[in-house]
Amino acid sequence: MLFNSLQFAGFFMLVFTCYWLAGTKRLALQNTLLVVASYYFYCCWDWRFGILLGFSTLLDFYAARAITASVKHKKKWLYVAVTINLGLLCFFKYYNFFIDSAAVLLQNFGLNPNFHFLSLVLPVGISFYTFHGLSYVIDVYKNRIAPTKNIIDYSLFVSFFPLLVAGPIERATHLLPQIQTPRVFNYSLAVNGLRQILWGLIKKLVIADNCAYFVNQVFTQYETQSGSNLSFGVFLFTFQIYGDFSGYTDIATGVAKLLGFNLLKNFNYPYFSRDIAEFWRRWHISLTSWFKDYLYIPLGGSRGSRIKTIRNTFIIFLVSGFWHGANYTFIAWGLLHALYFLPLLLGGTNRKNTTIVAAGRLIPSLREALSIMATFSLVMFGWIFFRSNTLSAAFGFCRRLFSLSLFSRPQFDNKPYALTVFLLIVAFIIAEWLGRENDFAIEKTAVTWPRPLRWLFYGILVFILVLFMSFSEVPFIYFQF
Amino acid sequence: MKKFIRAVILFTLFAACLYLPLLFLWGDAVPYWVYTNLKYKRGHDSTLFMLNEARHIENPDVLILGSSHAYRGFDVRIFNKAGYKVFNMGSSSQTPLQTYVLLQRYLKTIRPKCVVYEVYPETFENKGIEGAANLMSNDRNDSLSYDMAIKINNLITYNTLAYGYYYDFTRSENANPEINLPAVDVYVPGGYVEKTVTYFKNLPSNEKADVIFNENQRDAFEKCIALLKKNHIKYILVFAPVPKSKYNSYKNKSEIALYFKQQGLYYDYNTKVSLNDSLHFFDDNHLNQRGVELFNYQLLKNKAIFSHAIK
Repeated sequence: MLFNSLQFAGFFMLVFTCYWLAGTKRLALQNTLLVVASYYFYCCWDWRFGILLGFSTLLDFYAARAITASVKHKKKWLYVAVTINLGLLCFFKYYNFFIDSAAVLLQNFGLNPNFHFLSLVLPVGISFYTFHGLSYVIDVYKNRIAPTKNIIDYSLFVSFFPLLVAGPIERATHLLPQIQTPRVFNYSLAVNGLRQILWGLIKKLVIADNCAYFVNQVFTQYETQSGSNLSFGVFLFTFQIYGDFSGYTDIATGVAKLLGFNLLKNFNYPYFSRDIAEFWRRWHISLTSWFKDYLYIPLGGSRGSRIKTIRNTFIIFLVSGFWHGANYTFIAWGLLHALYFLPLLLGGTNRKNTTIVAAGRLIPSLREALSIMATFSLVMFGWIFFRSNTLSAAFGFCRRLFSLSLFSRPQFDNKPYALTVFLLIVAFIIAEWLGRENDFAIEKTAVTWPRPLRWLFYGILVFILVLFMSFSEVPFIYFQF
Repeated sequence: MKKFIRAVILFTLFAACLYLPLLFLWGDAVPYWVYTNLKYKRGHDSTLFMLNEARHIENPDVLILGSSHAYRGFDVRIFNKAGYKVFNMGSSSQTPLQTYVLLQRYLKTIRPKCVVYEVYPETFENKGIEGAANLMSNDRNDSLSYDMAIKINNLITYNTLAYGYYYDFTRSENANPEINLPAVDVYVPGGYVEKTVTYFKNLPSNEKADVIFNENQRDAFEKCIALLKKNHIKYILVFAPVPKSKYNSYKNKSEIALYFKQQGLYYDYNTKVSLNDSLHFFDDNHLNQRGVELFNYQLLKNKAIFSHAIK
């Protein structure tokens, strides 16, 4: 059940109605309803996924309780939970990758092993809910949060349907208290949620899905495309992945707001970053901060020697790349970003740009504009590795990209469509730029206008959505992670 | 909560009411090439020429129906030279759903002696969105357009139909825009479109697959046949030549042929004319002029067809 489907719209309307009809005084009923709805939502992909989710939930719930109950075996229970969680993740996501890599390695030594590959279906969102569970268990272990005694509350924390399959990766310290507190319907929050859903749908259906048509063409047939076509394809993928993932996050956050929850912010206009460090503070924030809190800092963070800081940074980027999928392309993508990060780390300038660019101004300075463009180009180059199916395809893509044909005019079989998509992206960049000081681009737009004008504005946005949306139900890219 | 639900309902109504005026404004003001879910393109291919002519055609010996394989594949001049009065009613992406609409609108006035129905299998497997948009843009819209839109049930079709009704309502019947055919296309009176001879270089490697007929298209096709039979008009079904790379990609050719044979006299010209993919086609679908001539002369030689047609 995709967020951009009529099935989800019907499902959510039903959940929304029952949820608020249950009454704000009956918290347990509301939470139970959301757990049932979340499992139904998840089982729509495959009912067997629900069993895995249930197992993971029970494991972490009881492990956390055991951690607080026993002083002696505290660490043991943490290891049990972490090992099983990561074990399941590795089994479903990386088993075939490790087997394949081992086979290739052994073949290099003249051995011919007969490994058994499994035809596993990767449970949707396993990387996300595993990280939810891990953060809970670790936070309980570190005494940052007391374990909940209510299995329904904990189940809801792990399985809450807006964030179940592609995040944001929530923290128990942030979401669990909201689950345990009675929620009162808040008109402003709900309207804000609807606005965010609308913007998320535009990002996904108008920007990302329209880009997908050309991106697929360019990346599957890169060997026969000119450099200029490839550069246009990478440019479109840069917006496809942003529109797709941040669009999903906006819809998820908006849906949660309608149910009275506030989720963590996951994107903060990453393509307006002035350096790579800033980009990573603005892109997939919940994952970056997860790795920072649960891997980077335990490794020593930036407290030790410079060498140690560099080592930790590389570890974080490589693990982050590998988290995305069992493919060397993701590792290469992570490595590339670590290399981008290195000069900032060595120069001690990685925290230079912490506020939004050109705050309070309409136009950035020349220096800011150049920094944004340079960072954008680096990020765009990185996406080649992220999107390619294999490393050799990525290198082949780069070779063709940086050929003389880069300076030719891009040629597509459907030129009007290509031009339309390009114009949509330009309009989108302008909208995002104008709204960059808000949580999402249209958050404050028209809010203070008289109702007729305000509704006209939103009516035009709905019209644009319907007029330009792509019909093919393209699944969200991050569902595969 | 009540306030919220009330506001949502009111806004939904407001947005729904606003939608059509914005759609009409958009259709009037924005160039047709902008790629949207409104595909109203009046006068941007040969259909408008053809339909303007169709209103004045009476009793041709042969009426040709079908997709671009028809209007780019049956050169009326060749048949005229041979003494047959032929009108080609092929149009872009015409699927049986559109053919049925055209037959209901024009069959009684045109009253052909025979119909050659070009049956390109791929038109039977698509939903007919493009063909519907083309017809809605270039013909007057009536309740048949509405029925067709309901059958297709797609936003593009609904948008185009809504704009089509608006266009028909606000413009007089004779107000035709300037027709902009691509520079390489020439409209030949009688419904044929000649393309400057070009050759096809990039042969795609078509993956072999079954052609699965869409139920709506199958249903519409059988209605077309029933309508022709009801009006006692003889017809033949012709599979016009396509490049071999495409033809060989159809895994269920024999099933397709069997189906068409059940519906009437069926001729597959892919097996009757010797053509070369690069020399006789201008893209991975259509014959170039050299290919058309070879195909059409072959068709004329088949006296069984034309004697059958005109008897």
